[in-house]
Formats: sequence, structure tokens, C-alpha cells
Amino acid sequence: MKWFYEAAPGQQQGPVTDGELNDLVAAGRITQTTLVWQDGMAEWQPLREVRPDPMPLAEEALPGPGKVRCSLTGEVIPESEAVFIQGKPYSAEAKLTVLQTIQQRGVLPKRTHERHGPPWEQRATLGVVAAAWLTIKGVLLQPRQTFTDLKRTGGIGAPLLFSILLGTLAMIVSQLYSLAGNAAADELSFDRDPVLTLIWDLTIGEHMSWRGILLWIALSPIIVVVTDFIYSGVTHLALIFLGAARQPFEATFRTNCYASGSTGALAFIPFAGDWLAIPYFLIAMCIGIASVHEISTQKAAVAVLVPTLAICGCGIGGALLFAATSQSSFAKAVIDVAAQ
Amino acid sequence: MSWRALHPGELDHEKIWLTVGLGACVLGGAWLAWDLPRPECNFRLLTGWPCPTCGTTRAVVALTRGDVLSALQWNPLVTTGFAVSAAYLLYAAVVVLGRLPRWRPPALDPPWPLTLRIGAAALLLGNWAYLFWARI
Repeated sequence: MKWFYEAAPGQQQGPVTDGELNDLVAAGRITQTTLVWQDGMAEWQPLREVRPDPMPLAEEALPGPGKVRCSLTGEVIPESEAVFIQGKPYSAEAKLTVLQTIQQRGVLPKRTHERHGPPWEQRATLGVVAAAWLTIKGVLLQPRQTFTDLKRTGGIGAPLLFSILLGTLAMIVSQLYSLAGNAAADELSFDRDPVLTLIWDLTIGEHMSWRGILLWIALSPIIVVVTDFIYSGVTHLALIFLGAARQPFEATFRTNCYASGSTGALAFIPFAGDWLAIPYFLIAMCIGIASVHEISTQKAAVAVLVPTLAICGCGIGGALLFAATSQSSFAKAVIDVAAQ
Repeated sequence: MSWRALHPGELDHEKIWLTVGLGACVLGGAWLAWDLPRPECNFRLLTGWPCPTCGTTRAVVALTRGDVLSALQWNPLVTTGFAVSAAYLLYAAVVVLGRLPRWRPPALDPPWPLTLRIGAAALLLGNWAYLFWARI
């Protein structure tokens, strides 16, 4: 049976055999989401729906026009720089290994790059705390490497759990720091200056009551879940809008959960944590989306930042001003104590 | 338009978004019921102009009173978005609870993807222009 496939929007190619279709997937020229058609089908459908059998590199993204994926390392390289051996593209760095393997074993080497991460998804062997710590460290200190290794499939349960645990913990810690700051200010009969008072009133109003804080903490997991899904949905819509959604929603959601959970851990830094978490989250998202969807960082930045600024501007601005206010009032209180 | 059963291991979008929608309703309800502080628009505060989602809170409050006309006046696009979301949640509840086949939009042939993108951009900008005009 011969297949036709959509090489790019509106560009139909084929016919190709089943084996050739597998080679195209292996070379990264088509993905499981590529639309395919053959005689007898009423309409074009994604490859994964008509051929659900597992194929190598099933989750890989299309490398993009003029680019191919190295069949050994998985690296995306310009087609002009690729070396084709037995019809498969390899990077110049991989060429020697490929030729040596053929010489020694008479077959092409197996692909070395597979996405395994993040460590959180190996918590059964690593232990929950170690897996969480390694994931946080990876996202914060080596985001590109971490997201390049992030599996695009594997479900939404594990990333959601990671985000709920760390997000809820971050909200509780943030509230405790805020309480401590306010208590210090009240103890010292601390009067905020007019500008800070204005900012305070415009963003969070008066100090939150104990009832409000407990309610906030109780609602935290729901807040985390709802915001994770909505933010991922908005980002994925922006990617579709830009024609850059090369992976399904699941991949965007997984990226968002690991980015938000890891950067949420910055809330443990007293009073400065919120200042750091929001920009760090946006940077991690830009890098993560670029790595997971295999698009340029600029395009990822547009997909992440434009809806954030346009739709979530109020919330993020409020959070930044909240952080600024609590930090400033606490800092002033500390200065006053030192002056006494 | 195609209706089909979920494939094994496929993400159940209807169940997910139904849960998220209900969660958002719980949060929104708690927010309004306990009269928690309402978000201020810092974009407006800094620039004096409305942001593309200005009027959302007031539209939500109007909707909770059943005053659809006022909600549309506060922010037509957001209010329409709420109506579309409500329709989707209703559909999701029916197919999830009834274990019915799911709707999956067909792949669009050119020029429809580009046309839809331009249409969506025009809607967003048009709505924003209205917010300026109506001094929301």
C-alpha cells in the first residue's frame, strides 16, 4: 500500500511504501503528527492514528525546512552539512563513528540520543527528594540540556504532581515570609511610605487575614492545576497561531509543569524569591518550548511572552508589585531595627 | 468533522478541560463569595490604557448576575469566550459521562490556516480597539 504525506503545510508528497515511511520518521522528516493518506481513507489523518504501532523516534519533531536530524545523535543540522550514508543523514561529527561501526559490524550504528528526562520521572529508583532536587537543579542551572532531554510523551500525571507539590509548597512558604514581613512591620509600628502604600493597596489591598491565608493555602493545589492547564493551553494556542506547534499539547504541558515547579522552588529564598521566580519561569519556558518543539528560541519567546503580556499582564504585574512591596517593607523594617 | 473513540493512551482532552473548567468555577466562586481582593490592571495603571483583557472581572460579575448585555459591554471577546467555553464544557460533560465518541477537528487545507490566524488577530485587535473606544 502506498502512502502520501504532508511534507509541509499544503505540500503533499508520495507515494512511499511502509518501509520508506519508517525511514522518513527515522530521519526526522515526518513525525507521528504528520498528516498521511492512502487509498481507501476518507480524509488525511495524523500518522499516529492510522499507524499506531510504535516506530523509532515516534515522538520526534520535524526538523524544519532545509534541516535534517542526525540519525545517530538526534541533533538537528542543516541538510547541506549532513553526510548521507545508506540514505540516512548524519552530522559531520557522527560520520567517523558511523563508518567505524559499518567497518567493524557491517551495520549502521543505533541512534544514541533518546529523551529520558527529567529525573522526576525516575523517582521510583532515585527517590522522591533526590529526583525533585535533580529536576529543579537541571531546570534552573542547565535548562537547555534538561529540556533537550525531556520526554515529550509519558503522560501528564508525573509533571502535574511535580508542579502541584512544588507550587503549593512555594505558595505556603511565600505566605509565611509575607506574614513574617508584615508582623515585623506591625511590631515596629511601621508606616509605609505613600508610594508603597499606593502600590500595596492597588495590588493586594490590606494585609491578608489569617482566614484569607488559610483559604489561599487550601485552594493552592486547585490554583496550581488550573493555572498550569490554562497557561499551557494559551501557550500552545500561541504556538499553533505561529505555526510552531510541532508537538501535541502534552509536550507543552509537560514543559510548563517542570518549568513552573522548578522555578517555584525559588520562593524558598526569603523575600527575593518571587522577584526571581517569575522572570526565571519565563526564561525557562522560552528555552523549554524551543527545545521541546525544536523551534527557534525567538519564536518560542514570542509564543510564551506575547500572551503572557497581553492576557496575563495583570496577574504577573500584580505578583511582581506584591513581591516588591513585601520585600521593600521588610527591608525598611530591618533598616529601622538596625538604626535603633 | 470527525467523531471517534479515544485511542488507547490518547490524552482525554474532554475530561481534562472539564475538570479544569470546574476547578476554575470553584476558584472563581470562592473568590467572589469571600470577596477576596480583585486584580487590578497594572498595564492600565502604568500606561493609562486598557489591556486586551480589561473588563474581564466586571464581565464575570455581570454574568453571575445574569446580565449578559452588560458583560458584553465590559469585554465582548472575553464574554464570547466564556460562552464558547461553557458550550465546550457542556459537550465535554455529555461525552465524558455518556462515554461517547469525541469530536476531533479535521486538518485544514490552505488557505484556511492562514485565514483563521488573520481572523483571530483581527478579533483580538478589534476587541482591544473597542475597549479604547468604550473607555473600559
